[in-house]
Amino acid sequence: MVPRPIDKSVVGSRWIFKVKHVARKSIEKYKAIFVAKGYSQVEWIDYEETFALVARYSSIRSILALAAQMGWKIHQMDVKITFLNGVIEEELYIEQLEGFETFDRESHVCRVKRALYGLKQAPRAWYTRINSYLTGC
Amino acid sequence: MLGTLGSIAISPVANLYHILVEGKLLIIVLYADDLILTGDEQLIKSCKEDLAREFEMKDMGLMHYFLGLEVWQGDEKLFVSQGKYANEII
Repeated sequence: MVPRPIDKSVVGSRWIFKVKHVARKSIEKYKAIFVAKGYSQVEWIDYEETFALVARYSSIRSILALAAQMGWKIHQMDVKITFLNGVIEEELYIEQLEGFETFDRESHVCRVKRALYGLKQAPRAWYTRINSYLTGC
Repeated sequence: MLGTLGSIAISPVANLYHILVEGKLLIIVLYADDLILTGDEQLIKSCKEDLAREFEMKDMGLMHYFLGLEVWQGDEKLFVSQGKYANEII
C-alpha cells in the first residue's frame, strides 16, 4: 500500500458477490471475488498488449481423434483463480478493498502485483506465465 | 519447466505443447484455464505433479466434459456427444 500517486491513474475496485444454487433450489455456496474496474484503463497509458492465445476448438477435436486412434486416455486439469497467477510488471494502482480500508490511510492505494480479474492485461499476464512455464523459457 | 521430465518440445503456436521422453509422447492443450493432457500415462502423471507444484490446480482426472463436449472413455473406445450442450441451447 502506498500514498496516492499524483501522476498515475488509479483503477477502481469492487467486490462481486454471488450465490450458487444447486439445481436452482437450495443454496450451495456463497462466492466473493475482488475485481478491478478495468474499464477505466486507457490503452498505451495504463496497459499495452492484451492479446492472449486460446486453442482452436478444431485443435481440441483433432487431439481427441488422435487419442482415440492411439488408445490414449485424456486427462483434464483446471487452474484455480487462474489470473492471479499472472504477474503485473508495470506500475499499476487500484483503490483499497471496500470494507478493508486501513485506518488513518484511507486515501492510500494498492500497488498491483498480480493480474486481478477485470484488469485489461489480466488474461495476457496469465497466458505469458503458463506459456513460459510450458515452453521452459 | 516440468522439472522431472527434463527436456521440452514446443509448438505453442496453437497452444499445443508436446514433450517426447525416451520415445514416449505427452501432448498438452492449453485452453484458457483448462489443460488437457494425453499420451503416455506415466508422463501425464509426472506432468500433473509438476504442474501442481507450480500452480494451484484441480486434477479433474479423466476428461468427462469440456466446452460443451461430453466424453466417455472406456477400454478401446472413446465416445463424444454434444447432447447436454444441445439441451442447454434449445
